[in-house]
Amino acid sequence: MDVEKKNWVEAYYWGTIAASGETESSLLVDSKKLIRRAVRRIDDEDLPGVEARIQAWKSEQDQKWETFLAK
Amino acid sequence: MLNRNFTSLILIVISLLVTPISAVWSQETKEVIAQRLDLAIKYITPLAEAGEKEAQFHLARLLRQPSKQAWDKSYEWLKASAAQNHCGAILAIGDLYFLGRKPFKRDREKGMDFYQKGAELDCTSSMVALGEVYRQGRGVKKNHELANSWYLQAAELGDHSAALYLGRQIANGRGEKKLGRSILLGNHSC
Repeated sequence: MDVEKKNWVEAYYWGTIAASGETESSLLVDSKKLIRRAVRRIDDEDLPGVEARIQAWKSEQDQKWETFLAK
Repeated sequence: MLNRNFTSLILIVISLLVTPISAVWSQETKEVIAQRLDLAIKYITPLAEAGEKEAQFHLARLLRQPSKQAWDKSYEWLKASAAQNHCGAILAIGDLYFLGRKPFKRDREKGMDFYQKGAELDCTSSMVALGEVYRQGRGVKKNHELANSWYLQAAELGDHSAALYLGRQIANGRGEKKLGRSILLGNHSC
């Protein structure tokens, strides 16, 4: 994967993370804009890897929350 | 727990009380808002005095409303809240200094000190503030590498706005070259 595409995959990753929370609407709109920009520049075969990372990030956040609740 | 629930309830009531009825503020509307503000302050003050840091923070905000302008008093409550590591209060004090809001004149260095203090306490809002300072070069030399590292730290702690800012940096070509492999490969030791 070339550097430029790696950047767009990375931008897609962070945009999706940003859009995944219970966030204010302007943040959600901007996140979706970023995702749309990124999607236009990445290929389908790049998506499974990044989706797996997104799931891992979400699991990690859930784990942190559970740990917090258990305290 | 009961006390915390009670605090939350009070805060919701306060937010309703001070919400403007209309975007066009007639004199009558201003008076209604002022009355609601007084009522909100009346309700929240005992909680703040009892040492609730969340109440202290919100009381400080209420005292900064245009009809109050009690800058010094507001700052005292912010200090009380910040002393209990309230992230919002620490950020607010940083902003007062950094932006030069009453009761202070602009002192960016001092403002940065408070942002740093907040960041050391894992306050993601302070980390994002530091990221913005370095991204925009406000009072410091622009440094996208440093900006991105603050965004990254905040994003990893679950801050969604930081994730957006970081994503934008990368999309705009201000990420990969600077952070190189650190972001792409998940090595966050930058």
